[in-house]
Parts: sequence; structure tokens; C-alpha cells
Amino acid sequence: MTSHQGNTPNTPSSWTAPDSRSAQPCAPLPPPPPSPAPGVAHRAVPTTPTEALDEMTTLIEGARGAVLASVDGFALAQSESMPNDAAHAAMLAAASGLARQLVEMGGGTQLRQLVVDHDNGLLLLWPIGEFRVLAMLTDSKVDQMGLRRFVRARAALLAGTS
Amino acid sequence: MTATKHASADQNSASPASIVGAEPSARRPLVEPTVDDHVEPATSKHAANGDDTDASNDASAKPTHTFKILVTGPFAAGKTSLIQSVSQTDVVSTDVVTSGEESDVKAQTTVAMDFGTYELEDEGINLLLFGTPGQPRFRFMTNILKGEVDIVAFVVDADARQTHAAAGVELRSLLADLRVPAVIAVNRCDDQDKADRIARSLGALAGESVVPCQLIDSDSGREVVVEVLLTLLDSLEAAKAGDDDD
Repeated sequence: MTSHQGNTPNTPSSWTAPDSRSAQPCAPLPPPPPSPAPGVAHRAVPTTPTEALDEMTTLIEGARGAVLASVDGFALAQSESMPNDAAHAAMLAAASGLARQLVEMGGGTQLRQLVVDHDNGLLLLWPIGEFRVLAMLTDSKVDQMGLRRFVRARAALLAGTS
Repeated sequence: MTATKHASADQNSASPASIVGAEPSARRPLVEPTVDDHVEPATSKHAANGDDTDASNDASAKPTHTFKILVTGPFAAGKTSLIQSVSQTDVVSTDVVTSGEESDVKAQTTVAMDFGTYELEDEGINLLLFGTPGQPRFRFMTNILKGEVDIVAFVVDADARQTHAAAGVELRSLLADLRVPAVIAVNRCDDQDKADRIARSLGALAGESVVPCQLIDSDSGREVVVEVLLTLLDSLEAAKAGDDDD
């Protein structure tokens, strides 16, 4: 498990939506999501977290599934591709909780990303505002920059503030 | 976080007698006042950080023996409070804001673990306190943290009767699995008889220690730790006696 502090020039310090309850600094206006693939050109803009997670797993090549959880371990939404397992949300909350402590060990103050690099791909976890975490299961060669841009664009919806 | 234990795992040949002092005359009370009556314990699964040969000749070079305590129990029982009240080092805490019905009970909850330490420097004893989350959805953390524990401190809230039945099942299951001694800390309780009744209702055995406590009070937390130490030493002593019989 590694905690990444993030070094993308345009990456905000957190993906908290501007009107979120989070005490963290507000993020700049996010860029639009990448253009959808030709086959889904007319896909509707998601209006719920579940739709946003399905959109991500559909549009991002290599993305297999996504889970949105509360920081205290309750599942809030998941993509259709994910099994309904309550333990997933609890594990994400625990991993996020420990990762925040590891950030302190590293002298940081804010967890930006947690990457679990395993033999079958990646598990990427991001805080969404102060009260939620998003995890995505992907192939090893997924476009992580594109994925992050996409998530930033849906941060307000995922944070429950839009 | 288990580095202390692992770092010293190759030194398990430490003389058991050195845990609380190599020579009776050199021993000081482990914890005032009652531990003074204890004989040297038999052994520790965990290591002594030092050379026992030297330690037997030089009290100042007394080895450090590390014991792992699992602090567990139901949601909102007082596990984090116990660790925070006694730890001599900054507590590693993974508390987050609660949501849903749990937010009606308390504002924050542990999602991964709490970690604190308690050292008896004169006795060369170092306690590592590993606290678990209390909700069943975090049971996997208990399974991670319970490895090689020396003793369980099981915390239960006397007033939260709705948690007792499940807590009893968890307690017996855990102890059957771990086969280590346990101390039942009955929080929000000042009466030993009441604490005993609650502990028996959980299925606690007659020989298991029961401590009524108020874990918002650090003195009360230390009393629990003292009982943990006494129970641990009793257990080690019994193990030594068993070895001698063999």
C-alpha cells in the first residue's frame, strides 16, 4: 500500500467540491470529463453517484469497477460491475484511515491518493471531500491521469454536494 | 506497527526470570502495590530486547519485554478511551466522523485501529495496546490485529445492554481462538458485583478478571492496565508451573 502525494500540476489539493462541507481547501473548477467513446456519444450526464461510477467504468479504458463509501465504512454507491459486498466499504474506510496516519508519518497533512498495486491490476483510492472515499479497480496500464481528471469532474456529484 | 515485536523475535531465548528482574532483591514492584507478591513469570512469547546474561549481572541493563494487548469489544464501549487514557506515546488513531444511526451514539468511530504504548521502564516491560474497531463490518481488522497477542482486554459498556449478547459471543469466540487470558473491563460501572454479573452474562469464566471502570478517567484506565499486567503475569506463572510439572 503506498500513499501518493500527487504531483500533477493541475491536481487540486483535494477533490472536494467547492460547496462541500469539507474543511479542506476548495478545488478549482474541474475540467470537463474526457470525450466519451464513440459508442456512448449520447450518454446522458450522470445525476447520481451510481451513474457516475458506471460512467467511469464504461468510459475509462481499463477501469473495472468503482465503489463509493463513507469514511466510516458504509457503501454509498457502486458500479454495476462490482459485487455487492458490504466488507468492501469497510475495508476502504480502514485503508483510508490508516493511510491518513501514514501521511502524517511522511510529514504530510492531506491524503490525496492511495494506490494498491497488485498482480492483477491497481486499486486506486481517493478522498472525496471530508466524508467519502472513492475506490476504482483498474488494469495496471490504466490512464491514471485521465482517470483522475474524470473523477475530479464528478467530485461534487460523488461528494453529494451537487 | 509490530516492528518492535518482530525486531526482537530472534531473541526469544531470554530468561523468563528476567521479565521482572533477575534477582528477587533487585526487583521493584511492577505496579503498586500488589504485583510485588508475584513470582517471576515463566515466559513471554514476545521478545526481550537485550542480552539477558548481561542483564542478570547489571540491573541497569535490564532487557525490555514487550507484550501485545488486544483491546476489543463492541462499538462505543470505550476501547479508544482506554488506550488514549493510558498511552504514554501519541496514540495512533483512525477515528472518523460517524454517519447514519451510529452518529446518534457518538460523533467519531475507529475504522482501522488505535495504537498506544505503556512502559514500565524500571521493570523493563513495554505494553503495546492495539485497539480494534467495534462494528462487525470491521471484523477483518480484529482478525489482522489479533495475531500473537498475549492478552485480551475486552471492553464492554455496562449501560449498553443491547450490545451484551453479541459481545458475549464475540468474547468466547475470540478466546477460544486465541487461547490467551482476558480481562473484562466493564465501562461506566463502579460496582464490582454489577461488573461481575455483566461479565458472567457475557460468558466470562470464573477465573477471568473483571474490572469495573470509568474510562473517561485516566486513573481508571490505568487500573485496567494494572489488572491486565497482573493477569498476564499470573498466566505466565501458571505456564511456568506447568512446564516444571512436565
